[in-house]
Amino acid sequence: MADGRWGCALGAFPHLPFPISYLLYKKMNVGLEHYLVVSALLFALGLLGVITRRNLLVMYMSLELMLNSANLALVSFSRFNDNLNGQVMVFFIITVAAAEVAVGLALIVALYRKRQSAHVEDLTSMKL
Amino acid sequence: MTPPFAVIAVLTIAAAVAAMTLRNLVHSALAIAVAFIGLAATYLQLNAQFVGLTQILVYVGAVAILIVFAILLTRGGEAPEKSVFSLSWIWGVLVTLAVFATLVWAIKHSFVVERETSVTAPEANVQQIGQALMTRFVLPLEVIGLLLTAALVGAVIIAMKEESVKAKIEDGRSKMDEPANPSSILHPPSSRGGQR
Amino acid sequence: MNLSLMSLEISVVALGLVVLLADLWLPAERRRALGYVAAAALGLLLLQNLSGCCSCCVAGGDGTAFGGMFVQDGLSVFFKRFFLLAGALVLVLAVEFSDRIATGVSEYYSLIIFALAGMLFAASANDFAMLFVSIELITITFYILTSFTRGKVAALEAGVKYLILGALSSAFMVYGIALVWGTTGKFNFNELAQVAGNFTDNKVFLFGVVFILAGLGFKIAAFPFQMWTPDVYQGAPTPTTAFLAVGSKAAGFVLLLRFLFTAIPSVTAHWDKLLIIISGITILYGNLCAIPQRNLKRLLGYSSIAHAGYLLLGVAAMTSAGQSAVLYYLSGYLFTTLAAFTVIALVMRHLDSEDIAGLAGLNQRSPLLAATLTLAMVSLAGIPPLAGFFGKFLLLKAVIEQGAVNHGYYCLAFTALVGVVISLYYYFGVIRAIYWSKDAASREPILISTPMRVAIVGCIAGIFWLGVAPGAVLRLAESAVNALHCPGLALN
Repeated sequence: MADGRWGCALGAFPHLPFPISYLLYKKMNVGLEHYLVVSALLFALGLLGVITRRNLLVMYMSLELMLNSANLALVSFSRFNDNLNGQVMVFFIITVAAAEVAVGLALIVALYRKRQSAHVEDLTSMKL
Repeated sequence: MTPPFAVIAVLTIAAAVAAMTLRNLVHSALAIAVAFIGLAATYLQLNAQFVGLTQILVYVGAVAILIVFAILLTRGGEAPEKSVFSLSWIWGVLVTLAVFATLVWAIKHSFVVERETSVTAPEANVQQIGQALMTRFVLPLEVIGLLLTAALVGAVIIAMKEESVKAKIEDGRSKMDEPANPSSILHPPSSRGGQR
Repeated sequence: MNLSLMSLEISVVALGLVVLLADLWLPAERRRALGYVAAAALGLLLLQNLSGCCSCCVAGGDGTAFGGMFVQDGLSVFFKRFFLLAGALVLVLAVEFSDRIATGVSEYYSLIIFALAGMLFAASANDFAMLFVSIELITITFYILTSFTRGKVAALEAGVKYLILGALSSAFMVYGIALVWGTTGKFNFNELAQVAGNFTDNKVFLFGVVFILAGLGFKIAAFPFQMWTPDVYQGAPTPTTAFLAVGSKAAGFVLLLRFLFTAIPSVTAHWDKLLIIISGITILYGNLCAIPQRNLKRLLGYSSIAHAGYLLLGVAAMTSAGQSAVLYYLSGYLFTTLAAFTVIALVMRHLDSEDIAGLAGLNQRSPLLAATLTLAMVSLAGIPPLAGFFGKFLLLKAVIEQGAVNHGYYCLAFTALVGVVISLYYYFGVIRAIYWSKDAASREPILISTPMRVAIVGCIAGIFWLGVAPGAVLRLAESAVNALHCPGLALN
């Protein structure tokens, strides 16, 4: 596969962090694990965004990224298992994610009208 | 020909990292759109053309645009002066690293699929997916339709401006119930951001 | 394929759409009463279900539809009756509350009915696709119901917090479903059960299961996923809180029971320690955090975490006695919690916050409401002869019976008893505020409408009935749980 060549070309950067170097050097033939590691990495990045960012919109983006990483896992399992049902599930997830975003952005806009802020720290009217 | 896996993967991950770290919200939204496109390219590479195109339509076409709209409506375009990360970021990093490390460890240490990769996997065409959606998965499909109805009604109700409601009541053309307690309709502050 | 199995769901969805559309033609002042019509319709469906299904349960009215995706068995019938009853009572409460909703009263009713439809689908879900879409239908509808009084900042904040944590948990659940499906290739629970035994040492599969459990743990507000509960309970409109406490939690439990004991029994059998620890911590956390609370809805939020812990006792016991105790306890919890939230909605109608001090003088203002809230608190605390006592007794009995297998169960039973003792303190704080506080803000009597009075009396009757004559419901619960263990339904 052509991936090996690309992997070698990019492998000229020796100090890449672990996950990326893992992707690049183990690239002789791309298998299910590689897709799953990418999906796990995206999931972890999304989780990081939800926990650490202060802005609600960035938190929503991170949540979308997490759902997308699940889609990637489903599609790659579906490809490597020869089973289409996973792709059907992906459609359900995409729909639910869109509905979640619509409701969530409506909430943020409504909250911004009241509070002039879209930051997590400002959600404090109910502290003990 | 689709570009090789490593390039797409690195591009997607870099875009995702950028979306999580950039200070300016508009830049974050653009970066996340790039990540969505990268994922769509990965789906195409995985022979899932229909999912890939849907991904572009829904995520790049609708979700990313919706997020940009929300950024504009909440004046999020200006980069904040304070740190964009919350104070407990160190815990977030630790939790994330733990989750990621265990996932990768699990993926490396278990047989995920018994079969070898079949290079000539049949392409998932639209017809097969449509048949699955309309036969075996028709019930979840209907429930999803109900969910979209509920979400649509709810999003409209929540985002509707309250003053327009009040104006309608005062005009006497009201289709809404007049609240028994008028103070429950609060006037939004005068310097609204939602007024663009 | 058998559509008649789904007639109940179809009727409920149709009812929701009718209520949504009726808004177009009804004049504004008539719209409020639409809730009574919807509640009556749900009551009729419940009666029809009770009369029709008592015979058909015996005569084999069970079955599956859509390739085993939708299953109608004793368990789903039990929970469907439960949800219909809860939905009808919540709609009556919503009519009482509707003067505080600025816009879209009929949308509020129809969204409650849509959430109810999601719960009905959840009761029959036997497949990951159904599990996911029904749980999302419930959750997304509840995001909206939570923020429905959008004039209040607290409601919007509660909605945003609920949405972020809810979407986080559904992301975990979806990823878990992807991993489980990817390793086993099965969506259907019965098919999964046949192969799950081969995967007990597959790490990816086990992580998938843990992630799915995280998503379900969020629904029932079990320990590491309980952060949203107090804020959402406090900020949401009271009918939403009541439905969230009863319906959403029960939907989480029916899915949890089906997932643990139908889909992956061979994995669950090794996880007794995990369930014991989660149950114990949930009980202690909920009860300890409830002590300093002054807001009544927030207090009930923490108490609902504690009750999730008590309910997990029955799940952790892993016997059919434990599972039928869960069903029984949920029935008692339905009457008790709905009674408590009804009183809160009526008493706190003109107050901004639901502070416990607002209960002062309730004894003089309305003896019926004072007695109802007292009974609800006594039942929640688990004092005989009310529903809560017998439920806790059954749960503890199931756990102690398992003590011979694993001594952790004795520790768990002890923890639960400690939790009960702690809870006495704050439940009696509420009762003290009703009868023994001096400075009553208002002395005017509280008017209760007739449908509301019927609902309250029904709840009181339910609390006493389940406490004094447990036989009928217990038998129903036991036969319902049988469906969990011998899913001998052929897949069509």
